[in-house]
Amino acid sequence: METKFLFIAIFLNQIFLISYYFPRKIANRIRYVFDTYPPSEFPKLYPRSIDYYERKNRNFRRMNVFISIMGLMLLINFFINFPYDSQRERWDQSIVNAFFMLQFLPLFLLELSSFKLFKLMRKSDIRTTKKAELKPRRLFDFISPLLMGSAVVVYLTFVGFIIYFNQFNYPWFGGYLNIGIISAGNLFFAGIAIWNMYGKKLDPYQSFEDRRRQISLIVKQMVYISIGVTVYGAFSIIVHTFELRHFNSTFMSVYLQIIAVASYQTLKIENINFDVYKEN
Amino acid sequence: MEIIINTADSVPVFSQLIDQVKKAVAGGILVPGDALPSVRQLANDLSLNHNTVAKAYKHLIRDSVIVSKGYRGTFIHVDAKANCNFDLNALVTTKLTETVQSLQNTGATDSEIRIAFGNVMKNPKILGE
Repeated sequence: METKFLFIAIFLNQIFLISYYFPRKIANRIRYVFDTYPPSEFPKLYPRSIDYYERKNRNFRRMNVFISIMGLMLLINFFINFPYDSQRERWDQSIVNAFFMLQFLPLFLLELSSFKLFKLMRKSDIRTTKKAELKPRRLFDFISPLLMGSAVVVYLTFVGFIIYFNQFNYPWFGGYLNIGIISAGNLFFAGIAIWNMYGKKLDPYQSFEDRRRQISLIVKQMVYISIGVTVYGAFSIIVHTFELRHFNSTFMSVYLQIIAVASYQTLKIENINFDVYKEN
Repeated sequence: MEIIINTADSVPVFSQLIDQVKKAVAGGILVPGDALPSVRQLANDLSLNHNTVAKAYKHLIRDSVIVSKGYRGTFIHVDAKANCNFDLNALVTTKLTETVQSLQNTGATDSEIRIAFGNVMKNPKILGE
């Protein structure tokens, strides 16, 4: 019974955090930008009419409301049919995971539209002079060696853990495939960090300082997520070994919420230089 | 340090890059051992073709203004300040003027000199390559 209420409380928090709290913060942030930096004064910030952004913001809010309602319905279902056998538990764990993906959909679509807007910004940028810093960007300019070292140690510990665990021949244990999955995930996170550090500048007007701050934020996010994913990978194996599978959905929800907290971090708006978007 | 290029300028972009690095070295803004961004980083930041930046770096390496240390990156050369004042283009122009003048003194016509120059440039064996 306690397991059931614990899961219900944690899952309710997942709905609140990812489909209400963070989206509300983002929507309010967008609204704040519209009001404080209007198109009349900052035309370069708006390659499309303000109505377009208003519509996108409205859709973002609506999608999150819809997903919250779906989440609450799912929660009621969990409350009525809480699983007590491992087979059902596996199903519910997959549902928690799938719902998390759905919760991220509005943010994903918002990111996609911002990519399109940056493309429009670059297209409409008619300046013939281009500026760049004659300074190399290096990993440790954006992240402390301690944090990076921690991520490496966590990964190597995971590899050691899997090698050690492999000798016990548990029928459910995936063996070295675990290393493959976690390594692929970490390579993906590293790819995102490298793309941000050395890739094309998305926003053609962004100041050097803002770009550095943004890269630093993304690199740290990737490292934190990498640590989270690796630790959870090992943790779920331990949970399985100690026959704590009835807690699996709860643990997964906590883990996904930690990932969401890391993913939703943004630059402080007061630190962003908006003067670059003013008319010349 | 900031680097500024103007794509509308009649001076080629790679020459603008070379000039600005040399000026920064001559002015003491860049000192020996200072690291430069990678070709890829600078090309992406300036929205230029990678080959354009690579060409500028190649010229700067040839003039010993910068030095490439493999995977560690590209750095300002120890003798960069002395080397950046050396203008290879001016040297080529001076030498070529002297050669053309001496050929004209022998009675060779301009068109003969032009054809001979073209042949020499086209044939690597004559150039000793």
